[in-house]
Order: sequence, then C-alpha cells, then structure tokens
Amino acid sequence: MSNEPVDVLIIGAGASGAAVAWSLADTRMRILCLEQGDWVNSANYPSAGPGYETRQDFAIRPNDRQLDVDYPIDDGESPVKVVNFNGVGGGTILYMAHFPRFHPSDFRTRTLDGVGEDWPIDYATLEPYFAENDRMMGVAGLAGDPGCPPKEIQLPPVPLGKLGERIAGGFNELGWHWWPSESAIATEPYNGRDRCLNLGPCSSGCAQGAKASTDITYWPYAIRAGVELRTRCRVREITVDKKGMATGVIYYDENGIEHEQKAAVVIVACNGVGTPRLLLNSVSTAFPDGIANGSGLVGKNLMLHAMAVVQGQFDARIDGFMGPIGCALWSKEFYETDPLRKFKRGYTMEVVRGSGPSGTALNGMMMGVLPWGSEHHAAFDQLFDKAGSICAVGEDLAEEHNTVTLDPEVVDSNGIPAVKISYTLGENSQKMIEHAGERAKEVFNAAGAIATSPTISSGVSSGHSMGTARMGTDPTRSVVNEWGRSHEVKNLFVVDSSVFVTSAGVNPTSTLQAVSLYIADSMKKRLATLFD
Amino acid sequence: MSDILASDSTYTEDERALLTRLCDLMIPAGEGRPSAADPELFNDILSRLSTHEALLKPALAILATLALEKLAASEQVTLINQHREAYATFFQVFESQVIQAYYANSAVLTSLGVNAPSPYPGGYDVEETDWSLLDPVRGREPFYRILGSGE
Ligand SMILES: Cc1cc2nc3c(=O)[nH]c(=O)nc-3n(C[C@H](O)[C@H](O)[C@H](O)COP(=O)(O)OP(=O)(O)OC[C@H]3O[C@@H](n4cnc5c(N)ncnc54)[C@H](O)[C@@H]3O)c2cc1C
Repeated sequence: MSNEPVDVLIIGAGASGAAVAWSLADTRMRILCLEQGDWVNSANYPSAGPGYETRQDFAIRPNDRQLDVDYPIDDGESPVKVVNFNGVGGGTILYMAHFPRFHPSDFRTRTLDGVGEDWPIDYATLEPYFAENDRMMGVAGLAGDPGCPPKEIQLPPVPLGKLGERIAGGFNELGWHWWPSESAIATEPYNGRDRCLNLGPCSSGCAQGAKASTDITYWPYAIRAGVELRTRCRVREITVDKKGMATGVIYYDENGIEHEQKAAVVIVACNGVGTPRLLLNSVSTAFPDGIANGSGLVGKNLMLHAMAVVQGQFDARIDGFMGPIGCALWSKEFYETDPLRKFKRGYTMEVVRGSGPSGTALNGMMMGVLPWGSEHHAAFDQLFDKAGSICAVGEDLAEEHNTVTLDPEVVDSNGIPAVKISYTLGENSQKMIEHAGERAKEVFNAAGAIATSPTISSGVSSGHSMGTARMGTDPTRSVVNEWGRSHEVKNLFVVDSSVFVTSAGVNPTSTLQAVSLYIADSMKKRLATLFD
Repeated sequence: MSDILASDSTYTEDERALLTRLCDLMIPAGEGRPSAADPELFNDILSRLSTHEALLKPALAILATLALEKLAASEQVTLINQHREAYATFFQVFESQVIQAYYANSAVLTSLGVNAPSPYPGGYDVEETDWSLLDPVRGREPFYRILGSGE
C-alpha cells in the first residue's frame, strides 16, 4: 500500500463521501478516500438467503452487529438509538431510500419562526445540487406535489400497494395532503441498475441493486474517473503542522498496522456521529480540545429527529411485506409552523410497510398477543400482513446539551476511543410527537384500521445524525464556514450532515448529498485561493 | 438455518425430549403448517439453542420436574404459562429462537404466501396504483412556505 502524499484525502465512503469524491474527480487532482469498512457483495444481503429477517450481520444498530469495522456507540441513555452502516456506501447500504428534500423554510427557521438558527445558505443555492444528486441517485416519484417546491423526477413512483392505498384513502377522508414518496429506488432500469422487485426489507440491503446506495451509484463513476478508494482503513486522527494546517491523517489498515497519509486537503465525511468523534480524537498542541473546535461546538447540537411511530392493524391482508419498506407515501399536512399549534416547525408523516413473518411473530410474542398452543396460528393470522405504520419525522431543534462525546472507557477494535450519545427530546419535540401521534391515529381510523398502537417515541432508531459540526459565518457559533471549510484549519472540510444548522422534518440524505456537492463545487470554484 | 449443527449440541436425550415437547406446545401443527417439533424444524431449533445451553439447562432441569407428559396439551400450556414469569430469560431465549427458525422455514413461508427461502430473486408483484386516488390532493394550491425576499 503506497502512502504517497495526495492532493485530497476524503475520510468516509458513505453518502456524502461518495458524492464529494465524484464531484472533485473532474479536477484531475490525486484523490484518495479512506473507509474503515469493506465493499459489500449484494449476494450476501439477507434478502438473498434464508433467515433474512433476523440476520445480525446486517442489523441496523452497530451495537447489535458488533463487526470489527463498527465502533461502539453508547446510546443507552438516549430515547433515540443511533443506527448506521460502516462500509462503502455508508448508511445508504441500509437506508430505506426515502428521499425528500429539506424545504425552503428549513434554512430560515430563526427569521421565520424565532427558533434554531438560519443557515448561511438557502434552498435556492442548493437547488442545482439537489437536481444533480437526484440524477446520480435516480429518484422515483410524481411531479406536482403541492407540498414541496417543483422538481424534475427521473422515475415512476413506487406503487402504494394495498396498505398504501388504504392509508391514502384515510388521508383523503380527512382532507389532508398526501403524495407518493420520492424514493431513491429504480422503479425502472436506471444507469445500469435493475428495477425494484418489491423484495421488502430495503433496510438490510437491496439484493437486486435497485436501491440507490452510493457503492453502486457514485462510486463506480468516481473510481473510473481516477479516485482511489482504500477500504479497511480506519482513521485515528487528523494531523497538523505548526501553522495549524492539516497535514494528513494517521490510520490503521486491516491488520492493525499504523500508517501516515499526507494530504494537501482533508475532507471529513464520517456522518454526524463519526465526524465529531474523529475531530475530537484529533488532539494536538495547537488544538487541545480537538481539531477545528475553537467554538467548542464540535459534537454539540446533535439532532436525531423527533420520531413518533403509530402502528395500525387492519382486518384483511394488505401485502404489507411487499415493496420498499420505507417508501410508499408521505404527508406534508403538518410540515410548516402553525401558530395554532403548541409547537414550532413541523413534521412529515411517512408510511412504513409491515414486517415479514419473523418480525410479526417476534413482535406479537413481545406484546403478549401471540399465545402458545392451538390458538397460535389463528392469532398469528390476525397479525401477519395486516399491519403498517405511520412514522412522523419531526424537526428536532438544536440544543447544545445534546452531544456526541468521546467515551472515556470504551474503544473500538483499533483502540480508538468510542462515542457516547447524550440526548434528550426537548419540550417542542415532545409536543410535536404528541400531536403527530394523534394525527397518525386519526389517519388509521379514517382508513378503516381496527386498532392502533400507542404512540412510540422512545427506543426508536435514527440514522439521521445532524448538527455536530455546524456551518455558519460566525466562528464563535459554528465549526465550518458557509462552504464547509473549518474556520480555523483552512485545508480541512466537513461535508456530511454534521454541518446542518437545522434538522427539518424530513430524512436528511438527499439534502446532505446536495450540500456535499455544493461544497465540492465551492472548492472547485476557489482552487487558486482555497486556503486564503 | 443456523450454521451450527444440531449434533454439536450437548443436550441430553431427556433435555431434547423436553425441548421437543415445548416446541410442539408452543407451535403445534395447524392451518396447514407444521409443528415446531417437526424433525427438520426441531433440528434447526436445537442447533440455535446450542449456543445458549448454559443459560437454558438449569431452567430445563426445573421444567422437567413438572412432568408435563402426564397432562393434556391444554393443561400443559396452562402450566407453562404459570412458569413464564419465574423463568423469563429461559422463555425469552427459547421463544425467540423457535420463532426465528419456524418463520424462516420454507414450508411455513410458502403456506403464508411468502417467497421461500427469501424474497430474492423472485420478488413480488405489487399491483399498479390507480393514481386517480390523488385527485383530491391534485386540486390543492402549493402550500409549502414560499419565502419572500429577505426571508
Ligand atoms: C436503517 C437506516 C435507514 C435509513 N433510512 C433513511 C431514509 O429512508 N432516508 C434518508 O434520507 N436517510 C436514511 N438513513 C440515513 C442515511 O443512511 C444517512 O443520512 C446517510 O448515510 C449519512 O451519510 P454520511 O455521508 O453523512 O455518512 P455515512 O453514510 O454514515 O458514511 C460515513 C462513512 O464513514 C466511515 N467512517 C466513519 N469514521 C471513519 C474513520 N474514522 N475512518 C474511516 N472511515 C470512517 C463509515 O464507515 C461510513 O462508511 C437511514 C439510515 C439507516 C442506518
């Protein structure tokens, strides 16, 4: 393995790392990406083999997977649990590919609603990058949604299925908005990817390759354009010189051997948990509290989204286990701030399809509704393929006490300090969750559900980690500037959702990829003066 | 199916017999589906349970004293239910492994209309949506917040 100096070193080959690598490739600079995980072979995805619902090697929580490429995350005290995937493609390997964009108002929450802070950029700035990213990922949907700004859509929408149609009927009954979800799923062959086969469990990887994970979207193009991607390389720290400029990184290879890699520019794309971890682990005389942490905000303002999940039970089979689990329809009825509500900002309601047989039975046992004995089968048939959920993804306001910090005791397989999540749901989020849960129940009732669950907001999982190295123009209130460059270290950039100033009421990947393309473009436009 | 072979397990004959009985009590045959004690299924369950022997054996020893075999099936289930709280860990592990084996079994999946052993490569046909369902929404004016200058 050659550790010759490179022009650009990207850390992390996930959603944002892939996008930035692809965009910078046309500069013809020498670009290297270091990724702690492996390439994933789609033939190994659970949905291609037996026991597909319960395999732990593709579990969404790293603490359940416990692979050596994972790092421990102590989220024991957080009501929202952190999920991720560490490998080429990052979280997009397991994501559900629900692909909404942030709304224009999400970038101006302080001005509009007196909460959070305004971003230093806006929707209009990102619009061309959203469009470019959509073309690279391939987005299925339907143009004309009155709840969102207009956009070009590449592919026909994911079919709603019986479950989606029933719930859509509920929204119609109430006179509330709904629309087929924008989904990063090839509903027809797209850019070498085959069409979706409605396998169901997108959240353990897509064996068909229809889901837009970046290992099969951006990376093949970036590599063809000359980017080098080195896997099983875990970065321990970013190194600096006496002038406080980044000089490269120290990383461990697959065999635990330590390497030094020099680079003229370092780009961090390790996600809202991995990025602050790396910055905080990069301690030097110049940066005793972690690199780029002059504001003291690295790891603070963590936003994981306020989630409210309600399950509805129907009296007939609804094909709930078929089709992309997280992509059917969304509702923006309660997205924007309404002064009549007890909270600011809002949420998107997203329909989640039902579980397969194992998931249904395990849940039924846990809830005490699946008995032993001769009644087992009848009880199972009452549950199986008759349930779906509405998950409200609500805007979580940035609060400094919600943090990612280094764990003083726990280390990963290379001895690098792991992370601890300290996170509570603020009052605004709690009121929003309460509101969303009640509205979801109303939808299910209007859709003819025979029962609904209580609102679940604790113990839910989130792969949406934002805000821990936020962008801004004021170096005392932000970690990076308005185009992703560290205020203090002029050749260090952050491109993932750590830079988000607000969390919006939608899933983040479309927006974080647009942000990373925008940062890459900003760098390209300033190549001659990049470090000024 | 578990990677561990049932033959690797060190459960005694008596313990296996009791586990077989418990499997059949938990999920008996019915609705065209096999019993969890069906030999192929039981082998899979046993191999899954072999990694939990240390945890399960002490509870099995106590459950053996209940002499379940002397009771009618419904009475056996009642008795088991009475012991679930006292041996919560045993039942959590046992039930979870039985379910994971049972509901991954090809015969069971097929009877439920689910592709066996896995969704891929067959996939599913989801019927095309009739988008006239959207007509009530289509008529609505854009309602996302359009920002004015300076906002
Ligand atoms: C189960 C699940 C479902 C989800 N569903 C959705 C959805 O429907 N819609 C949506 O928008 N989002 C969804 N997400 C979130 C989505 O996956 C993330 O928003 C997205 O992947 C984040 O992109 P990223 O580039 O910031 O980080 P990631 O994609 O997480 O990539 C970071 C990469 O950095 C690597 N890395 C970290 N530290 C180091 C280090 N020190 N050295 C080397 N490499 C390192 C990691 O291994 C990883 O590959 C979901 C996530 C999960 C897990």
